[in-house]
Amino acid sequence: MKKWSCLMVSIIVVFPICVLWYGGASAEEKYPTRSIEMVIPFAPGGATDVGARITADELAKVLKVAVTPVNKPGASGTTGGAYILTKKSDGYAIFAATGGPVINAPLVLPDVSYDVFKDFIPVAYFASVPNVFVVKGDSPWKSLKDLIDYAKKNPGKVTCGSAGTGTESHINFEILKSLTKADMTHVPFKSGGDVIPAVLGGHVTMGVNVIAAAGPQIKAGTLKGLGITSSKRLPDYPGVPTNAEQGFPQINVSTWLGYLVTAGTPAPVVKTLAAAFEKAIKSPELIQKAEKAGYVVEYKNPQEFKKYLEEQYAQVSKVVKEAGIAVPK
Amino acid sequence: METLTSLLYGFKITLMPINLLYCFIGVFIGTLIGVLPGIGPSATIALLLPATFKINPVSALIMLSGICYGAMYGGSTTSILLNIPGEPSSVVTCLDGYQMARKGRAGPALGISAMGSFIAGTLSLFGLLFMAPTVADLAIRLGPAENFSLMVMGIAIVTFLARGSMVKALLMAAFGLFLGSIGTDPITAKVRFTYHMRDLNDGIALAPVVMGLFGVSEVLSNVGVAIRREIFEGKIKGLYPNKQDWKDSSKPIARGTLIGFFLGALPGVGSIIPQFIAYVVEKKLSKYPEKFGTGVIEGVASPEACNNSAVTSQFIPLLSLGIPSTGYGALLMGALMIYGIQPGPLLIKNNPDLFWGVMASMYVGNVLLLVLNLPLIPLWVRILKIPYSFLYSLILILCVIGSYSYNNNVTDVLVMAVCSVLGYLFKKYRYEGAPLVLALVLGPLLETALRRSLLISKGSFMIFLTHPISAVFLIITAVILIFPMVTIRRIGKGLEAEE
Repeated sequence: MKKWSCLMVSIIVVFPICVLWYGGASAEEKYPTRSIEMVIPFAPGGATDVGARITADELAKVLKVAVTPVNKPGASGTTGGAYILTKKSDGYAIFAATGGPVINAPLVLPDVSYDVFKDFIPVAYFASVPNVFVVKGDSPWKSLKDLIDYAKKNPGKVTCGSAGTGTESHINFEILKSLTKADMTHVPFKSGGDVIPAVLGGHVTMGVNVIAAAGPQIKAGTLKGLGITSSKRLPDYPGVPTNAEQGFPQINVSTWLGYLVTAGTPAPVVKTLAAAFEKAIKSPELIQKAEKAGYVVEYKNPQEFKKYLEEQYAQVSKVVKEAGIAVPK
Repeated sequence: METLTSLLYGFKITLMPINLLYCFIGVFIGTLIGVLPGIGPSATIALLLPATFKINPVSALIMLSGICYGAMYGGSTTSILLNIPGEPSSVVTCLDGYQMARKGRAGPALGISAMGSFIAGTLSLFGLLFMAPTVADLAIRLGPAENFSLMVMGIAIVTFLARGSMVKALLMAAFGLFLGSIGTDPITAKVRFTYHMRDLNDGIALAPVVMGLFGVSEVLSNVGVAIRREIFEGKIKGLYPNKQDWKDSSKPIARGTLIGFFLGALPGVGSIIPQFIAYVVEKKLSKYPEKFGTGVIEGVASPEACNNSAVTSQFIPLLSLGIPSTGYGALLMGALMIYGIQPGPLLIKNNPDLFWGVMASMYVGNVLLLVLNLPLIPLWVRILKIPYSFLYSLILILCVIGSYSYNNNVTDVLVMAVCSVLGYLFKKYRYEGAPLVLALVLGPLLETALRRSLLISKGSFMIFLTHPISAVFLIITAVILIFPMVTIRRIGKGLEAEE
């Protein structure tokens, strides 16, 4: 019996140490020679986490080293951003970035310490999940215009749930509001997941969420999609019109996912990584997995990704200014 | 009838040797990580996720859900033995479970918690099969207004948790509410009370607070007190619950199961609040409420049963609505999406093998857990015989690793350290930790629900009375607050005895 207790105790002690153990470090010229950390700035299980894990899995196959996802959630993703900047710029830490921590948060939140253009180098753009405006399945509106007409006749009656202040869903709502000048109230929730029951239960009139989360409800008819941020209608949801075809091409902020490394990473390392990402992201297996999870995969190389970041930054900063949603210092 | 045929179909899937093996692996890992404080189901599922890409989704989900409910079995072990909740949700079990262990009744406490979990797991599974649509419908009816009133009801029960001084309990609750307001304002995203420490932007995490207040503070207050050891070692009476224990526990298990089942299905409520409610209901109904907190078996049986049925019923909104109500629920949903299965209203129709297979596996898993856990009890009880110098170092290591791994963040370790010192002082001056923990859980939920409701109603407080479900909760709250005036003598007696 004594032996058993000893064994149990040693398992209890050793197990967490093994769990927390990441490969040892050594000086190297060749890259990569050891495991790479992929920093995910959100909690496990969300859309970003799922997308990043799928990519990490495929990237590991290409680079032939382990790519370990590390979740550093918190403060709209900026905890993860601040964390990766404490790491050495040697290409052994990759940031799975979304618009939240690198574009929206620095524009909206008062205390973000980094600048995406100065502190990071874009390596590869992976994919996006379009956002969709949803209402209850049995509501009378068929398009965004119907809803806006209703909102104008009944000022203040329409409420819209978002995934939180400063998130893509909130920004899409603010663009709609400033374009139409309709009197609607923003109700921020803790995450996109909380928006769906609130719309289903009729607690808010409409909600904005990623299609990956709202999709099953739209297919079942319990929710109705009034407008989606993608440029074309999605094959899986032919009944959901795009915002552009309804005359709102400006409402196009999707939740995207791309990969960055910290500024100062040697050029050859960035080149190796970019090539590896290209191969991984273009692999049919990854595309199939990502599409199942609701992503629209579209590889962009470092230059294209940089241009995309600049466009997004310009657009979001305009909205933030017009709508006055920046949080005062 | 249709449900039964489908369930038989589910058993056919679960009892395939490969699925049975994954089910066993799941519940085994679940028990292990449940026992280890800090390493919760979320971290484990996240770690195992890449490995599951290669196996069949049904087997994978059977294993991953096994981890979730297995952790609930294991979570109570360290609560009872060492006063450290293995999972934050086992904090209620500490209140009476640890006191039972101190009286030499660790065995019965562990036994009743395993049996209670088994009974609750089984009953709630049947509830899930036959009442899922009703419960799912109820869950979405609860909007911000209803949630607010439910949380008000929750905060009203703080008064019943008090064992010593009522004033001290209320002070602790107020302190808990204050701690809960640290971090980013949920509506405007302004940062409050963080003094520019950005790691506090997300508020104070529950797990490190609980570990510090309960676990490490126990070590601190025992350091240097050599006499105490004999109390533990002297009399370990009985390893399994006796007849009287069963008599005392059967009704609490039933009530705990019911409370956990209905509250656990509500998105965002989690499993801690239902457990506090279950505990307080038992205290209220008991013939000897003054003994709660000194090691009565009802105080272990009911919250443990509640805990397990809440975990089961959270599969209702997860699978039928695609709405996760906990962190690991969100992970399971992420896993499903990677397998290409969309949780939601069409899941049962499109993937019957997955739905019924997982349901049946939960029953099989519960049987496996019972078989796995009962023989372990004598072994766990022996842990108390380990010399304190070793045991205390072990507790410290577990708490440090546990609070770090919760979010991979050093700040959480510091929070744990500060809370252990606070916990030591609280113990010394006879302030209780439980009201603080309840308030810390409830505070942020209460605030966001209140502010969202007022946004929706344009600032009118009438929203809480015009929504019928919300009004009912508020009326119950009023009754809860007025009730003690009628029974003041009984509670008064208990307070005197304590002081």
